[in-house]
Parts: sequence; structure tokens; C-alpha cells
Amino acid sequence: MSGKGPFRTPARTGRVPRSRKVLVIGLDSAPPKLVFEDYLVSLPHIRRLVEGGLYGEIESTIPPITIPAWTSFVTSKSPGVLGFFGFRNRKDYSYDEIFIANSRSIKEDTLWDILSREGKKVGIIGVPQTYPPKPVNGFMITSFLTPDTESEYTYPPELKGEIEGLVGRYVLDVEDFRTEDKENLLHQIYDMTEKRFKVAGHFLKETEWDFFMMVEMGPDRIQHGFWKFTDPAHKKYSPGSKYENSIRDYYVFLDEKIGELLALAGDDSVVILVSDHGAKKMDGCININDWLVSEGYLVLRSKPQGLMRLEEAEVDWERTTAWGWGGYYGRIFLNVKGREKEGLVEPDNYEATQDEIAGRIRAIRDEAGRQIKSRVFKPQEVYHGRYVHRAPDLIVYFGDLHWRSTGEIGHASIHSFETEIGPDDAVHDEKGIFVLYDPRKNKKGRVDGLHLLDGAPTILSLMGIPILEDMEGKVIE
Amino acid sequence: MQEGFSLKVHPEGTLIWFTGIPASGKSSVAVVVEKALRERGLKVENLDADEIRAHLSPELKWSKEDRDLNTKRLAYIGKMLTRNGVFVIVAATSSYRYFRDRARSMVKNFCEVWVKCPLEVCQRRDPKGLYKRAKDGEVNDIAGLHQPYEEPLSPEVTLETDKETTQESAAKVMRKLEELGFIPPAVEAKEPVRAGGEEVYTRRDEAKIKARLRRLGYL
Repeated sequence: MSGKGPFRTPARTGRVPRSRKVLVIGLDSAPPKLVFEDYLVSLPHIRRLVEGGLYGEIESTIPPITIPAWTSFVTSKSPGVLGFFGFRNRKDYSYDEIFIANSRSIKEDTLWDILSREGKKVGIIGVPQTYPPKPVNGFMITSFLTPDTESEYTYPPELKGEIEGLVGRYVLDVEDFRTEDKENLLHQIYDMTEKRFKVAGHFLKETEWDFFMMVEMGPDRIQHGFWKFTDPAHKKYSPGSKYENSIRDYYVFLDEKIGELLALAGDDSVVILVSDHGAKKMDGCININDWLVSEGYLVLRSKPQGLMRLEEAEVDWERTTAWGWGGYYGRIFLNVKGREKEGLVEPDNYEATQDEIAGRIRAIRDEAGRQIKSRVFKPQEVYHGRYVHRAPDLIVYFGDLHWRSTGEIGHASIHSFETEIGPDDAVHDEKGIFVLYDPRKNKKGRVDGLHLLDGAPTILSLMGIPILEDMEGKVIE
Repeated sequence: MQEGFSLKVHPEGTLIWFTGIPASGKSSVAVVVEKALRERGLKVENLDADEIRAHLSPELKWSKEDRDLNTKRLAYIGKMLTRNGVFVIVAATSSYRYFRDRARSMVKNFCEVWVKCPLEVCQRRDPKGLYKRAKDGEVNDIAGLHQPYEEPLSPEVTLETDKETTQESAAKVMRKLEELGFIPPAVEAKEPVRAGGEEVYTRRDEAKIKARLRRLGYL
């Protein structure tokens, strides 16, 4: 977009005079502790990258969730600039209209937009928020946020046949995640990863590429499904389970697969290994809307008979101050006069209301009355950019993210320990992994202060492409 | 509230000035643009020329001097509101270029919309019966008929309301405001349509993705 107003796209900065081939391997949710410490000794290929390159913890977005995190990495723009703050976002100021952020929601240039324009060949596999696929100078296979494999999940569309010829039914994501049938879940995760890496290897070998990026969702899925078997600190841990080493075994398998890609990528390519956030044990759920009811912020016309979604409950909007959404982090929306249809909070009282609710959230304790150290963010303090006004009015990390948030209403207490939809053992953490391995450079060692926003500028710089002036991150070198 | 953050508005408003001869369709398009801006969460004030005249300038008639003063007042109100982040819509004949240029010079963000429509079409439309009254000899000061109407030389947008629907015209204005960077682009893009008219991303598709996200614990 060009123009003279405050929302214009600024001009570019100077050209960097060199170009490298870059392979990015994204491991959704891979946590620094597992990769850099606990498992590293068993991961020879990853270890080679870590020991031969720069590595460190990389800070995720607020919130540390697949969307907006990966898109921040590939655009170097934060959520207030991107206009989405999670998978689900408010469409307008109504009480129930939402949209799921997809590729069409991204108005900023992604790495593949920029590189395609510059004539570089790109290959993109499984990067979240790429469906519906867009034309690129190269190819694209979309991610788990694709309706199903009946959809057109590739660009160009003909690629679908090639993929299915190679691996049979391509697996976008595990289909039955909320299952107690762990054997089946494990099988699905391995099948998905196996197929994705087979496809990636095929295209690494068979196509011409300058930039190749794939994201594997397997680490996220296995951690959510198996954490309690592997972490003695988890409430539900019981030693000696046959799944005790399930996560480690999976990372060993992943490492082998990564080794195969590295062999195909060529000796001179730069390799980046990155995750969009980390993971840690889940302690429980805070039933956010039940809590808001108990504090008098959310008023119902009738008591819910059993558990229900907020949309199904009879909310007395005229008397309601705030309502919430569930997820790995909590979102609270204020019912503001002149903004929401039946708004109650006076705009002049907006920040005072934020502060009051935030204070009470910080006082929430666990089921045994212990402090859980929740953190609450006000959008005006943590975001900037043209879309800040679309953000939730409060963003909550219950128990520093060890507790998730549940949107359903009608629980007997504000705490629960099973999600309504089945087991879940892990939550997200703010720090992910980052490894930059450049065979031409001798720079090695741990680096601090990394942020996902640094992804796009670092990659453009390696490829000798000008960095957009409005990119928010820095070049990691 | 912290500076730089706004609950409902962006930092700087825009004065959107619709100009054109009577019955060209200024107000009709303005109302649709007003609604579209509101739907994007922006603060909007549609300064209805007749209403402003009735409340602020009841003494003014239709002489050039009075028209001059009236557009000056409209522009001044526009200036005060836009600097407070309001999107101000003015739909006024504003026959002389210097009326409009003066308004342009008074605000930071200005968008001149020329609502172009042939006189014969306007005469046929005649929603306020103005042209009929002229025919009956009751009025003799209609811009574009009795008095000059100076066509804009470089308006930001030109609408041809005899060829476009009101919705199409309003969409042109919204697109231009986006292009100028005066409003953020809509977050949800228009869904592209495949050859044959089938949408690439349907409600059913979104329902499938929602169901998956729910199972995964994200919703």
C-alpha cells in the first residue's frame, strides 16, 4: 500500500550485497529445556547445529500461540500491527461474531511475498496461516489450518497429486487429538511427521529453491498429549508408564528426519531451527466466565443447567461488565458503552475497570488456596499499531500460563482439572528455541535477547534482500 | 488512557468532502460511507449540510457570500473534529473550487469526492423538487444550472452516480481511504471466488477449522 496517511508502508532500506540459501525447520512448540538440555545428547543432528552455530531462547508473541506467533516470525510484525491476537478474533464489537485468522487476514508482506517479488525461489510447507494458499514464486503446501485434504491445499494446485502419489493420504494434522487412546494418537503423530518430512525431502531434492521453510506440528501435539507421563512435577504423573519416554523418543525420531533434510539441503545452506513458543506442564483450568460471574462482572438471567458455552447462556448484557474466552491464555472483553451494543462500562472508566479486574485476577489462588502468580496484560501497554483497538481488553496468563482458561460456563468451581473436551497435559510457554547454523561462519554460542520478530530480517539479510523499514525485529548475527 | 492507544478510534480523522450539483447523489453515498466507517470501529460524524445550516447558520441564504460562509463553517467544524480522531463527512454542493481548497488546507487528512452526474439525470431524479421549482420559476440560484459549478480538477475520488450503484460508489470511497492510508484495510478480505463462482473459503470450511481448533484446545 502506498499513500500519505498514517497507515502507509514506508520505503525500503539499502540492499545487502550477498545471498545464501536458507532452510528453516520449524518445530511448533519445541521448548528450550527439552531441546537444549534434557534431550540434546540424544539428538546428534540438532546437536551439530547447536554446537556449530548460534542458539538461544527466542521470545514469542503475546500471546505465545501458533497464531500470531509464526506470522510474526515471517513478517516481523507484532499482533497490534497484524490485526489478530489468536486463532479466534472478534469480527466487530458484537458479542458473538468471530473470525478465524487465515492467510487472507495477513495484510503485511510475508517472507515468501518479498522473496517471490525479488525473484527468489521459495518452498513453503505447513507454515500456519497459509490457507487458502497464495501464488508464490515456487510452491506452497498449507498447514493444519486447512479444512481437509479435499481442499486445495497446495500452490500450484497440481502439486496435490504429486504429494498424494508420494505418501498416499497427506496428513494435515492429527484427527482425533482428544483421545484417551494414546496408542492411536502416537501412531497418528508419527504418521503425520513421517509424511511431512518425506514430502519436504522430496521437494528439497527435486525443486529449485533459495528459501525453504517447513513447520512440523508434531512436537506440539505430542507435548499436549503425553506431558503428564514424562514430567514428575506434573500433577497427574505416575512413574513407570510405558509412555514415560514418549516425548524423548519422538524428538529422537524428529532428529533423524531433520538429519535427512540437512543431507539434502547441501553443505553451504544456512539452517535455522526454530519454534514459535515453548511448552510446560499444565496445572489446571481457570473457568474464566464462572469466575467473572462470581465476581459480579458477568450477569446471567438464569443459572446455567450444566455446562454450556457462553453463547448458549442467557447473559444480561445490560448489567454485564466483562466476559471471557478460553484457550491456553485468557481473554477478557469489556462491555463498553458506545462500543458494544448494550455497553455498560463508561469509556472514561475503561482503564480503571481494566485495572480493577486485573487486580482481582492476580489474587486468584489454586484449589488449595496457594498463590498461582497470574499475569495480566493491557493491550494499550503491550501492543502498538493500527489494530490495537481490536485486541481483547485484557490478556491473562493464569498461573504464568501453567493454568489454561476455559470459556464454558456452569462449573461448580472456578477451578477444573479436565478440559470439557478431553485430556490435555501441557500448556504453552513464552520461550521457544532458535538455532542459526551458517557453515561459512565461525560464530558459535548462546545468544540472548532473541525475539520471533527477528526471523524475517535475519533471513532477508542472509539472502541479500533489503529489509523493510517497518519490520520490527533485528538481524540476528 | 495511555497516549497512542485509543479504544475506538485511530489517531487522526479525515475530512471526507462530497461535492456535486444538487441531486447528484452526495448524501446517499455519504450515508453508506458513514455506515461502512462505523462498522470498522471508527468515530464518524456526518455533517448534514441542511442541518448545520438550520442550527448554526439560520441567517444564511444562497448568495455566493452566504455559501462561502457556510462551507467555511463546515470546514472549521471538520477541522476541530478530525484533529480529535473523528471521520467527518460533509456532503455539500460547494460550487467553487476555493471553498473546497480552503477546507483541504484546514485539515491534515482530506479526501475530496466528486459526485459526478449529468444535469439531465439530476433533473429527472430531483428528490427535493428543487429542479421543478426552478422550472416553475420559484428558484433561480441552482449551482450547475443558474450558477456556476466549478468541477474539481484533481479530486481524490470521482464517482459517476449515473453509472454506478450507491454501494459501488461508496466502495470506491472506502478503497481510496484505504489506499491513502487514512483508514486501516479491512481485516477480513473479501473472499476470493474460484472460476465458476465457488468461494475458496466457505463458512463450512471455517466450521471445520473451528472444530479442529476446539479439539486441540485452542478455543
